[in-house]
Amino acid sequence: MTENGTEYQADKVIKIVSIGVLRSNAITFNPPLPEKKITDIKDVEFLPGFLLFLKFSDNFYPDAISSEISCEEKTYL
Amino acid sequence: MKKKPICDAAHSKQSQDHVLGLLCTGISAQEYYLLDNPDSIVSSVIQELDEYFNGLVSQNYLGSYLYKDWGQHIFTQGTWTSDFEKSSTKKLNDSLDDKVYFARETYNIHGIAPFHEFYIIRGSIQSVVLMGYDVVGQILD
Repeated sequence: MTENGTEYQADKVIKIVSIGVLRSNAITFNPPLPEKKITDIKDVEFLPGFLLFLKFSDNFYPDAISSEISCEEKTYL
Repeated sequence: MKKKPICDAAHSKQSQDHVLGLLCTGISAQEYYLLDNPDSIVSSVIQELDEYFNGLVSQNYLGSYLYKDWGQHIFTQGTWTSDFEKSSTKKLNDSLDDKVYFARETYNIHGIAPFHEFYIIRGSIQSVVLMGYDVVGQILD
């Protein structure tokens, strides 16, 4: 059932939402997800993040500069 | 300033614009989130880059930016799976009574082993497509 009350019925359903969406409890499962499934979902390393583009009047930078960073700190500019 | 990979986001895109793109995940993103709002994040990024480019960033910045927060967006709530171990997918992928199935890059059962001629890892677009095929195959079987 959707947020506006529309109900769809099916024999099989494929959930393609992200682990982050499953964790957010935006979807209500009835019956509820098994505890093991909930634990597994929480155990996955699924990082927060954002994308930012900045616009400039001139190209003062080279095409690319690369440097090493740790796995836990993934920042790409 | 922490060293970070930098690229020209408009490179080879036949654009007259000059754009730098920042894709920030994990600890770095959480540090920026402490700044509360996109304007503050932009100011912080420009300040960091100015140290690297000797002030040219703030001099050339047009005051225009695009900010997409995948970590907060209702349909994403994050970026992608950064744990590449396929062992953690074993139970995660189980369907609910053969009625509800799960398909997305996180559920990649192939790990980092070669799949045909490709390496398809969690956290990749290819992984999304592959797991879609896999789940449909399970249902049809």
